[in-house]
Amino acid sequence: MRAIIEMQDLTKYYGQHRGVEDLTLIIEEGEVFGFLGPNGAGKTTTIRLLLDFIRPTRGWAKVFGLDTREHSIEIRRQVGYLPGELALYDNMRADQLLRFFANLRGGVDWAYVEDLADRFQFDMSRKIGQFSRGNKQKLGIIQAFMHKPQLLILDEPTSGLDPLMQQEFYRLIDEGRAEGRTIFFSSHILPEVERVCTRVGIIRDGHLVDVQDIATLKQRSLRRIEFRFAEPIPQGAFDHLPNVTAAEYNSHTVRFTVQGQVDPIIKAVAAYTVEDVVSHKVSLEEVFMAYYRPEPQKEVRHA
Amino acid sequence: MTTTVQQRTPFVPWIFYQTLVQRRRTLLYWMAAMGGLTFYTASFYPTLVEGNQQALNDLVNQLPPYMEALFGQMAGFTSPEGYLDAKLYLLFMPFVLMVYTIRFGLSIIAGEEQAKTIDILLANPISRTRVVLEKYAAMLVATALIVASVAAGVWLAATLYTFDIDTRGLIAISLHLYALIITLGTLAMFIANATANTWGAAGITALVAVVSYFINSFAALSETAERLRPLSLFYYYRGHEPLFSGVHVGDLLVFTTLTIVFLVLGVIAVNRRDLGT
Repeated sequence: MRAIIEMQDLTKYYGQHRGVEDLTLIIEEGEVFGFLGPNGAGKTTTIRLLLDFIRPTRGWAKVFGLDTREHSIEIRRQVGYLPGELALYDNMRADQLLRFFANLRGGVDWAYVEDLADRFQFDMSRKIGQFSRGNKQKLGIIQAFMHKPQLLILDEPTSGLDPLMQQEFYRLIDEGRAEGRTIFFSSHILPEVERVCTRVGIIRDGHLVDVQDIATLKQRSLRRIEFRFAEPIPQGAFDHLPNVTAAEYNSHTVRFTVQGQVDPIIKAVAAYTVEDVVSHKVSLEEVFMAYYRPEPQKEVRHA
Repeated sequence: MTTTVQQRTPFVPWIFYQTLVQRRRTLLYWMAAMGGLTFYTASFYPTLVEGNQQALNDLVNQLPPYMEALFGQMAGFTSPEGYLDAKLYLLFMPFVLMVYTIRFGLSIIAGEEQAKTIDILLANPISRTRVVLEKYAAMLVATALIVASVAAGVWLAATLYTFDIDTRGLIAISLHLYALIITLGTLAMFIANATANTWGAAGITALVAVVSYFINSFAALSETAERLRPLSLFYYYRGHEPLFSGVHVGDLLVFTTLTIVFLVLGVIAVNRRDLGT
């Protein structure tokens, strides 16, 4: 697997102000990488460093193995970029803007542009200034995808899109992934990351806190099981069981928080008369929230 | 995934073209307004001087010297060139038209940063240098059209109202005017490219223009101003009275040199700094 994005100790200060600090990360070909963090964590700073709009204070980044400072134009030839704070030329029509960008790039298949516009039910003949937030976002997405780039760098791509268009966008991402494109995707919307990404990096206060496969995260994630018994259960009856990270006893009911296999619990509770059982997975959201908190929650951290 | 074969498209100045297309309406307004105003002003010349030549000259001779310094050589007021020089080219045209070039210069990079459109523009595989040069070329062309429409206004009035204007002088003052306002626009662009501060760039450039104007105007009255005169851009604009004596190549070379220096510095500056922060 080829590394598409590499960062090594990538650091950016704005004067005294911290942008990002010591980011070290490799994203490989074909990954859909979710870059997740609260607003102001440094997502946009990282993206703008990759595109050479701003320059690192120290450290470096490479895209397609090329240094972002030395070879920015070659890099951008094969990158589709959707800015987070999307601003477009309001006095142009959408098709004029797309033609302009297609001309600057060369080799854009206009039939594909029209195809994208159809998919997003986007009217290209209107003035950009008249567009709603969502329509501008569609235009941003179309210009990012229209030249079928090897790498897509998308800064909060679904913001402003209605749910139907979000689904269309996820399908577009899935297709890109199937075609082997690499996608670097910043977001603060957790279900979205869970839906489309293969791997996720979590950034907080300018630092990369953790990088995980989505599958691993889901596996690692917790399950809550609640049993109601016919008889009262004494406090601490199941405390010795493996995989149980917490157990709450409340007369006839016991609530377990489990990480991993639930089999030992099932075997143990079978000794009593079980009247009811409710089980649900703790959402990834809860897992992520633990990362976001200034003081990471112990329960999840060690789970 | 296989790397797509890079298509080598021939170079077309799309940004230059797009800049002019986007600004075409503003440009037409400027051309119409400046050309129209010039025509209107120039067309008053015959009515003003007809039979009043002597009275006007007497009036002019009574004016104190500082008035003459500030508002032009009144002695020549009664000739078409003198009239146009005092009414249009001395003060009004340079200060109005520099608004256009300064604003254009600011818009080249700093304006895109403020509008936050710089990100989407530079998402394309183009260098910052290319953006600057192509938009700058658009400024050269657009400004030339405005200056030409001013000259056309004079020429049209002279033709319609049958007074003689020295064509060579008209072309000369137009070239000098063009060189002056382009130099100021380039200075504004350079400062904005270096600092991302459009207000600061506009302010400094306007200050340079105003100080230049006063130094040149007071050169006849004050020895200090006379010594400082080579520092004044207005000295190179009309210190040698191009409307009366034709193009002064040395003056145009000074403007050209300054413009190239500001342009090169502007390109270097914008390549060195963070954009849109």
